[in-house]
Amino acid sequence: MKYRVDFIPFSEVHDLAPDEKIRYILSKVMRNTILVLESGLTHSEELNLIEKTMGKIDYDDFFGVKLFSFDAGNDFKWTKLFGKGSKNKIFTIVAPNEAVSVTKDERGILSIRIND
Amino acid sequence: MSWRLWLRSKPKSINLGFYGEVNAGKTTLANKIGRDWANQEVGIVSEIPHETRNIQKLEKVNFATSGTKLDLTLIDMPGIASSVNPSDFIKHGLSASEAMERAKEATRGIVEAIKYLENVDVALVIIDATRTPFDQVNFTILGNLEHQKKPFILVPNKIDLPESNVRIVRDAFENYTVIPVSALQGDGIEALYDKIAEMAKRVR
Repeated sequence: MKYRVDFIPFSEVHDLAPDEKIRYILSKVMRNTILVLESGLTHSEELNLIEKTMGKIDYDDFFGVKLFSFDAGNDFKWTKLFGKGSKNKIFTIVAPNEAVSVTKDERGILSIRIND
Repeated sequence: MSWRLWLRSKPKSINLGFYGEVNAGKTTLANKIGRDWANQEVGIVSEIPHETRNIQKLEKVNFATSGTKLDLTLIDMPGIASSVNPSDFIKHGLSASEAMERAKEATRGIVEAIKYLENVDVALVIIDATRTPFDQVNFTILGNLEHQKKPFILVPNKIDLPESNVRIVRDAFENYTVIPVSALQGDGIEALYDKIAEMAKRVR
């Protein structure tokens, strides 16, 4: 299986209503895309994503998502990734469950292993 | 007795919700509390993930500690996860059809647990202290409880096991109330009871 990684800038999703944002994320993830969202999800959006994900699981091709929100800290500069300024310091990774293993260790290092 | 005095002497009714990831020991802890205060258990414990797939309740649990009397309803929630794969159950010896049925029930249970969050007065968020605590589900549950202004206690469980690491849980969640326990052995349970009594006072 080949997976694609999309870096989604704030401008892509900030006009979407909450449910539209979740639908947008799920539609991409279900097409084997790993998303890095500049506009990190709030905890209530995360819970909404989990709830909506349950309704999409088909127990055949799609088994759910892995998600991880990461507080990048005040020193992180999104301009390095997205080429424009952003005040947001929390980003979220959402991936097909089978696509990645995501771990964070005691030192705060976030490791993403993309499976074959 | 006047109705004011009667109201004051009546134990406060509290819905105590047990939240957390799959196989963190939610039902084991709910059973321990149920046995201690009502001589009853809440549910069945199993090594197979998603054993609790429906919300299970034990009502009329007369709890009294630290001078506080409570009428608890223990609400054991299905474990919250962002994925469900039947093959995980097959690895535990279930047949393909049993695994599929369990997976479907598990997904429904997760939705049920999420929707029930608003009905909980005090939450215990149980974390398996033998695993690294950085699963996003833990942060998601805690963040939502905070957002809804629900009192909660973070409960690292399984501290009787040598591989448990309470320090890493405390470090990861340094701003929260953390009470480590072994639901199986009863270690730390008195401290948890005192804290439940304290948290219940915050409920109107």
